[in-house]
Amino acid sequence: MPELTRGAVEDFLYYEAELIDDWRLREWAACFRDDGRYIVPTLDADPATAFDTDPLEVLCLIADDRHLIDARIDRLENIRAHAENPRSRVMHAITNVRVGKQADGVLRVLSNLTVHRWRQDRLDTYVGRCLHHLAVDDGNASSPGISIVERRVVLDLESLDPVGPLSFIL
Amino acid sequence: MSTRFVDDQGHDGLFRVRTDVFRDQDIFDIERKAIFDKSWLYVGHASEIPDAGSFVTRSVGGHPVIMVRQRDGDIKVLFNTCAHQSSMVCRVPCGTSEAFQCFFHGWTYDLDGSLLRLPGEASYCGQFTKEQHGLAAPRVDSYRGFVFMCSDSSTSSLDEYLGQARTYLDLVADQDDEMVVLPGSHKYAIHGNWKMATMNANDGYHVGTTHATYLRYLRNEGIDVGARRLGRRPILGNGHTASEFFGGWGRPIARWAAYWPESLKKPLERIADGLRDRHGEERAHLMTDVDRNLVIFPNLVINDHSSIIIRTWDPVSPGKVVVTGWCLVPKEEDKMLRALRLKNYLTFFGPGGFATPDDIEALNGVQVAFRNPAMEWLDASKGATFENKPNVSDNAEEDQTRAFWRRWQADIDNALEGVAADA
Repeated sequence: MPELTRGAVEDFLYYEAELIDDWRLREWAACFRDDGRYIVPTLDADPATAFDTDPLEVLCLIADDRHLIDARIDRLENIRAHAENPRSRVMHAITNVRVGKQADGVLRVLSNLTVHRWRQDRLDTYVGRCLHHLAVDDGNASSPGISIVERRVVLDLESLDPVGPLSFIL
Repeated sequence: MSTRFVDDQGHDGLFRVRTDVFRDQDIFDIERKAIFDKSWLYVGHASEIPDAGSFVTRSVGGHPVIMVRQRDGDIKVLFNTCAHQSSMVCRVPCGTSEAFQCFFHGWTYDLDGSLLRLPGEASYCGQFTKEQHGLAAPRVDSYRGFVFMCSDSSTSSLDEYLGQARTYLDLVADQDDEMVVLPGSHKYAIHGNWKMATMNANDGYHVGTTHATYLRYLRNEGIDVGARRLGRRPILGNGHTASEFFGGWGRPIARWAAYWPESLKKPLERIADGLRDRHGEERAHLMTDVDRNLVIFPNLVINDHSSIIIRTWDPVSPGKVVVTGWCLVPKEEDKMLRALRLKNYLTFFGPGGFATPDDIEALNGVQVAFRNPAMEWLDASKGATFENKPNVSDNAEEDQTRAFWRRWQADIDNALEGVAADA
């Protein structure tokens, strides 16, 4: 498997953020491998283990396999997804990208994430760390050469009390 | 201001509630004393604090409290307020401790709240006793692992308060030898009034429209949504209500559904057989086959259908309530069933689910749209002339909403009469 440069990884993360911010969610879903997962642990999860917990065994906020990612998008594209009609305006800012080790063809990438979300007279800020497990592959039209095996957002908020629900893609 | 907030002409088909009860700060302040400080309020589940000294802190009815396991296995709830100068004694959400020390001046309390040590103790003399300076505590009692507190000494016992609702808690508690809350919770805000949240929990009327995309998700999974039928709307007294129905989904205890793997049929049958052996045909049927929501007045909801969620809310102001939800599971459960249970839970519930965000959206919108002066009344008349009778149009009559409001008005009346008598 070819090595991914930091530049290629960062380009991919920025590209993914652009798809989410532009609500091009089908293209975003296509970035995931068929067994890919999108996970948001609960905010009271132990930060030491939140990156490794098994979403089939503990309660998460979001624990989508690829099938549920598609179901989530099917919902969000429906005008009767009331919580996102009208849609949130969302902007992802990604910093502090740390490219980790590659093992079994999968690369661990940590980044810091700030998401601003503007909706119904409220500006919410979500901060957290994002762990990507990325695989180098043949890619497809949306995702040239890289697929997401897992995208896990560990929010550094104590609760969602001050912000709106996670009805958009974090 | 008239105190007749509920206009109950149910026998003539009209039931409505004045909208200022959702917005008015004075009414909110009355509710704190008349309802939240009088009722038994859910604090947590016994399984959250398994060992001596394990504790959780949370806000219950506006009061910061510590729920803590004693050395003898008993459970106590303590007000999280130092007896010295009212500092918050414990400031972490959970943990295990031998004692609680307030960092402000170093007063240290035992697990039962009694004052153990205070720096400079020799300076305290005369009238001052350590016995008088323990952490204050509400009454505490539990039913089948569900722990409640009550700030009022004149309120009846928890058993009496729960009344008929106990049977419904039994149907949850009896599903396994040991039912436990999974680690992790969902905590989020609704920018709406707490009473709308309680109404929402047993409102079947909103499901078809508010949750249209959730129902679409179920249909896409191959679930027969039309099977949601045969509802009953039990009114349980003291403002407690339930709703019973058959959703099309699989119940991890123990109702197989066609969209689940065939290989689960046998394990689920074994669970159902075990429940029949232990609890008899009728109760086992209620546990395995029937979906239900339970609302314990004023702010506890247990949805026992595609999974079990315990939810409670803590009103912050007339226009804001903070919700916490937990997932209740059989402690020992087949790995695949646990995974399906969590999938059922997360696809419906919580701030990232396919249903809850739309409830939040509705309740947030109510609080804004109430501001129109023309909106003097909120209506809850659906099915008012045939309460306790079979449904007419669907499983969505508003019996439970009316039962909630009748109890609410009675509590407010009691409090206001008390004020008048004192004057």
